[in-house]
This record gives sequence, C-alpha cells and structure tokens, in this order.
Amino acid sequence: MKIDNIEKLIKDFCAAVKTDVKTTIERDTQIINDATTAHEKSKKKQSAEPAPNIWRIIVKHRITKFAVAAGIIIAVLVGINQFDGSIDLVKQAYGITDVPELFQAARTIHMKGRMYFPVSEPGKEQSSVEVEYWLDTQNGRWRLTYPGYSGDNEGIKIHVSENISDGQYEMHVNHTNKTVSFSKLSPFQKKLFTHKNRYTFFQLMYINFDLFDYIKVGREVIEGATFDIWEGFGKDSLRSGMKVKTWLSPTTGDFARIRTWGLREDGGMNKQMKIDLVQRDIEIPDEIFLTEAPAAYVLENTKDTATERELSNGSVGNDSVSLNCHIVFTMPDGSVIMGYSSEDRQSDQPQTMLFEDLKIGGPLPQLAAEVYAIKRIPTDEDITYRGYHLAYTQKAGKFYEWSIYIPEQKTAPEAVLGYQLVHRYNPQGREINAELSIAVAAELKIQDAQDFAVFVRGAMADLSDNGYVPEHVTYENVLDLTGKIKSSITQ
Amino acid sequence: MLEDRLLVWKLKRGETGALQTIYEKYKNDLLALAIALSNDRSTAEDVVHDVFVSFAEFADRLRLRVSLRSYLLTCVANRVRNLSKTKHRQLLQLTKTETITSDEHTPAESAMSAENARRIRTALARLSYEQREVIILHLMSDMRFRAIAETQSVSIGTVQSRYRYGLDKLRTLLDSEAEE
Repeated sequence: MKIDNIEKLIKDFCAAVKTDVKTTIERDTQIINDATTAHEKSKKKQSAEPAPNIWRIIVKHRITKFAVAAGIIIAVLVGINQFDGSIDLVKQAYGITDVPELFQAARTIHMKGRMYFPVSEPGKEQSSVEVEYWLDTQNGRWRLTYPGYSGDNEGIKIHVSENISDGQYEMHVNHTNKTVSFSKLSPFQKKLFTHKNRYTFFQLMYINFDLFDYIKVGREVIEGATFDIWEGFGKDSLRSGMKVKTWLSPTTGDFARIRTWGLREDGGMNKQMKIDLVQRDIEIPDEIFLTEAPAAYVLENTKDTATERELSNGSVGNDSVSLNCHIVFTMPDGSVIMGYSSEDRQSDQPQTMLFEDLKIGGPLPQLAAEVYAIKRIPTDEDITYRGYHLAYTQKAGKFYEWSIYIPEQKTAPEAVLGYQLVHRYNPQGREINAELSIAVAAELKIQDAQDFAVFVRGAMADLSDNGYVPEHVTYENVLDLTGKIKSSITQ
Repeated sequence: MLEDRLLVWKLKRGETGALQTIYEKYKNDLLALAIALSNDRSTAEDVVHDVFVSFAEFADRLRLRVSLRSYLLTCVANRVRNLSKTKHRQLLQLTKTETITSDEHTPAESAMSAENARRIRTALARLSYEQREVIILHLMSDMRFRAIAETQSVSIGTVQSRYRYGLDKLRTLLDSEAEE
C-alpha cells in the first residue's frame, strides 16, 4: 500500500467504519430495557437508602458477632486458667521496640481515635474530628477516614475525606463537598499503597526510633489488664517538643491508648492525637471496603471512566517544562534511587536521542529539567547527593529516567524526612519563567534484596511497556555500583 | 451540548424517554468506537450494553465535566481497555504470542478497497493498545488531544507522543507490506 498521508488514510478508514456500523433492533431493545430497569432501580435505592453507618455494619456483621461471642468465651477460658493454680513463668514480654515487627506482620490493622486541630493561644478549646484507619494488608484493601484543615482570619475549617480501596479501585470521598471520584489500582500500586498505609500507622503513633527517644515511665491497670506506659520525645530540632505517650501490654503487645502532643508557639502543648482503639489481625467485614458511592453524593467519574494513576511523588510544571518525580527509594547504604520524567512542552521532538548511549553509572540524560543532584531534608547539613544514570524505562512512548544519587560526603546516621531535588534546564542556559521546586518524601526504605525486587523493580515494571525491567538492575549490582562510585569520590 | 444537558436534566427528573433519546443519538458512534478498539463486533456490542446500563444507573448523580458524548466515548474506551488487559493476561498465561485479529469483515471494506481495509485493521491491531486508542479517539471520535489526556489522566505530551509514534508505526507496517 503506497502511503502519502497516513493521517488521512486512517481518518478515511475510520469514517468508513463509522458510516457502515449500525446497531441491531434486538440489541437496541435489550439495551434500552436493561438501562431503564437500572435507572429505575437506582432511583428507588436513592430514595430509600440512609447514609451508611460503619459501626452498624460492623456490629450487624456475622463475623463480628462471632468475634464478640468468641471474645467472651476466650475471656471465660482465660479466667478459668488463671484460677487453676498453674503459674506460667515464661511470659512473653513486649517492649516498645517490638511494635514495628508486630505491625509489619499483621494481616489486618484497625485504629480509631480523634485528631485535634492546633490553637495558637492557651486555654482555647481545640476542635477535633474522628479518624479511623482499616487496612487489609493481604488483599490490598484499605479504608482511611481522615481530616484536613485550612485556616484563615475567620478560623479553622475542617474537611473530612475517605479513601477506600476494594483491591481493584480506590474511591476518594470528599465529605465536605459531597463528591466521589474513582481511580484504578495497578497490581504494583496495590502493594505500594498498602506498604505506605502501614507506614502511616507508625507515623500517627510516632513509632520511629530514629526520630523519637522512648522511656518506660510507669504501669497502669486498665479494665483488669496491665499496660506499660512508654513516653517518647522528639530527637531533632524539627520534632523538638513533640511528645507521645502509649499504654502497651507487655503480654500481648497490644495498645490500650496512644496520645500525642505538639509544641505551641507560646511554649505550651497542643493535643494532636487521641487513639483509644488499636487492633491487629481482626476479621474485617467486606462491607468496610465497599467502593459504592454514598447516596446523594455527586460522582466526579465512575469506575467505567476511572483510570490508573501514574505513580507520582510530586510534580511541577509551567508552560515550558514539566518535572514529575514518580518514586524515591533509600538504599541501605544511604544512596537514593529516583524515577523521574521531564518533558519539554515547547518541543515536539521525541526523547529517544536523549536516552541513546547512556552508561550505567555515567552522566544523566539531558532532559528538559535534569535532576543532577538532591539534598536531604532536614537540611541541617549541606550534603549533596550527586546523580548517576542507572537505567531507563519506556511506557507508551514516554521515557522514565532511573538515577542513583550518592552522597558526596559521609552522612550522619540521622533520619531523613525527604529530599529536595536540584535541577538544571537543558539546553543549559535556557530561560525559564519560573523556578520549579520540589521536595519528596523518603518513606520507602529498601532493607534487602526482597524489598528491592518488590518495590524498585516493581515500580520500574509499572512504568514500563509490558512490565520490562532492565536485567542489570538488581540489589547486588546497585550496591556494587554505589560502592565503586563512593570509592572513586573518596580517592 | 445544550441539548445533551437538557436530556440529562430530563433524565434526572425521571423522564425515561430521555434515556432512549440519548441512546439513539450516540449508539452508532459508541458501537463504531468499540469495534475499532476491540476488533470484535460481539465484544463491542457487550461493551456498549454495559456502558449504557451503567450510565443509566449513575446518571442521576453524575456531574459531567465533559460533553455527554465524550463521557460515553471515554466509558467505551476504558471498558475495552480493561478487556484488552484481561485478554492480554490470558494470552500470556496460554503463552500465545500471535496478534489478536478478527477474520470478520466490517462494512468499511465496502467503502475502501477491501484489501486495504483489511491491511489497515491488521496494522492497527499490531499497535500497542494505548497508541491505537489515541489514534481512534482522535481520528474516529474527533476527540481533542487535551480531552483524551484528561480522560486518561496523562499529560497532553504523552497523548501526542502516543499519536505520533502510533502513526509512524502504522506507516512502517503498511509500507513494509507494500514492499512485500
């Protein structure tokens, strides 16, 4: 076939298909009937359906009913055991440092409490709102009810949102605007967000031994059970004045209460979180993870129009250039792997040339915004991590650069909150109207080869056609590469 | 656009006749798109059925940010995309590598040379789904790149790249056939 104008040829083909395609009367009748039935059912449901009440769902659910009954039976058995005269000398003793492992191993996690909003003056009542997190780590399902707030001269406005994943779709519910939107989850996103949500639990409870010093300050009996009281205090300047108090059972490793406080400008303390329910490995009713929009809420889209979100840890852009940091990983040796993309919005040239002849451990591709270095946050020490090319992936014509950043000086073992990206525009010397600034979180810490395979290679596969990941990107190879580069820097 | 808003308003008020009017207005566009994307009439008919029934179910609560036509076309494209992923996974499991093409002849072949139409259909089927979708949405459904980008949650640059690379690949495929 001789092709003079491919665009016109395909357009003619499409026009011919459009002209010729006709539905059949049988199908039309079936579709109209089914659609009318669906519409009428939906109308009836909306007029009859009250707003969902999670607690009613839980209490009514047969699994929960069984759990409640079982709890009573277990309590009776424990009671009998305590009175049979035997003494168990080898009791498991859990301390605060055991908590991360217990929660990492948990199949399900549930937490409920109240989050308090800051006030600037002493004596003022702090308003609060309920927060509740459900996480099913095995099936990639979660339901997070959380507040946000904005403040102006008229005071603080509180917004409540919910993110619910059924393992396939994530539904975002804005209870303030009464709107609902959906996005699809790729298998990797399911794993990644489950991991991040578990991390959120630790953040809310301030369970982070890099950031907080803990001491046991006492013991208290609550409803017949003994709990050790642990207090934690922020280590560095950013967390100075932050305090956490937990009631942890030394026999089960369960929390009875958690309270957190933050420092006010006048030196007083503001309440931050009050958590009175933390559960591990409970059976969670499936209804908790239903992604059905509440009645009377406006749908921004539906599952039919929901798309997979591109992984993103932050993005910026203007008319000239875009920069999207897709994901960041911190390796055990302190080096950082980052996947990012940048597009020149004033050019329609493909980026293929920029990714030709790149060397592993060599200079980065000269993207429109080239992240040649990163600096860590908090930036107490002015330490620069220099970027080297590791690999690239391509998905549907778009290129993703995977760079490795290595500190130029020896780094102190303090905790890293995130990284500030340092970039230059290419071609160099190019005038860009606005400075792009981006800081990314550093919660993804790679511990071993298994983490690397799941998260680093998983992310690369997610941003690659057919899940292709360059073979040389392995845990051992990357550590070997960073070791060599560090040696060359030292010399 | 104004007529569509009126139809949706009537539908929300309970006039089921509006549902039929919307269906009659867009049914052939939706079916043509579904056939072009799926390359299979039976699958395409099922897709249009499911999309329209789903639209009817949620219409009362839907806030349309784009035109009704764009919304319905996007629903069709997304549903075919989901099906194509399932099919792709099934194919991988069966370790089959051949491209999925249908032997069914569409009436388009009566408007163009039948052989040319077959070649174009085969060439389109060999593109990645993302590239094929952008080309079909732009050239068949007259959707602008910006609208496609919004519905697919990608940048306009990505959509334009997919379009450009897709057309380049089509040209190469059709040219190489001509040389053979």
